[in-house]
Amino acid sequence: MKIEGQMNNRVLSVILEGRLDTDAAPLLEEFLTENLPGAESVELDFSGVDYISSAGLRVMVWLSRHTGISKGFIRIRNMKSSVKGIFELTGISDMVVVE
Amino acid sequence: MEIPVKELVTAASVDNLETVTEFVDEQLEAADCPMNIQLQVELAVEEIFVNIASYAYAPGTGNATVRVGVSGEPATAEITFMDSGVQYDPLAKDDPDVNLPASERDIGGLGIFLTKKNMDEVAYEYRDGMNVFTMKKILTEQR
Repeated sequence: MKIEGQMNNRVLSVILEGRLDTDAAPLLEEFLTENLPGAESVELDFSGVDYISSAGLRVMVWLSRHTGISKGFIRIRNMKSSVKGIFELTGISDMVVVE
Repeated sequence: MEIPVKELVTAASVDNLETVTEFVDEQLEAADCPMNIQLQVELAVEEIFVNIASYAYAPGTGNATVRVGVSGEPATAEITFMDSGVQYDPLAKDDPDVNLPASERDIGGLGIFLTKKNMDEVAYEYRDGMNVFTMKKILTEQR
């Protein structure tokens, strides 16, 4: 998975490309751990993600916990319908703002 | 559509996840499986194989056997995972409460939940010292 991010006005924007699976999940968690300090919110661009497994979902749960329970903190953009379906099925969609 | 059963035996290690998903994908592609259904099957394959790789033999190592075949009308894939690790029924656990907020969510249990939701049938059996997990998926669009 390719992960690229930048911080603008305390918003950490991250563009993801590839499969958010067992292999990629630890990379994303590591990237966020390194880059979150100083961020007031996170925007994840999912336009290049066509697959997510429970390992990827666990990163989303971890991120919501890590950042307190303020739902507005995590925003996900351009989610494909297959991935969105998994978010809804598991209730993870309630922990983030889906745009 | 009939794809004879093929078998892969591999070390039950997360490093082999790609080998396993590629093996299953090959059979599904041979059966002209639609992409969205293939992704649902892949998800279940990842969840089950990663479970075996993480827990069946820990802290030791061992093999996992994966069998895939397609038969019937409508074409249905049957995928079986076998390991001779510690006896474990993944279906015995209750589904996670998907309405709980993040702070109260049990971070486990999502994988098997997704497997159940994405496959048409799942079954577990402990047979001859082996964990045998079988799942079925109809390979045509429903409705």
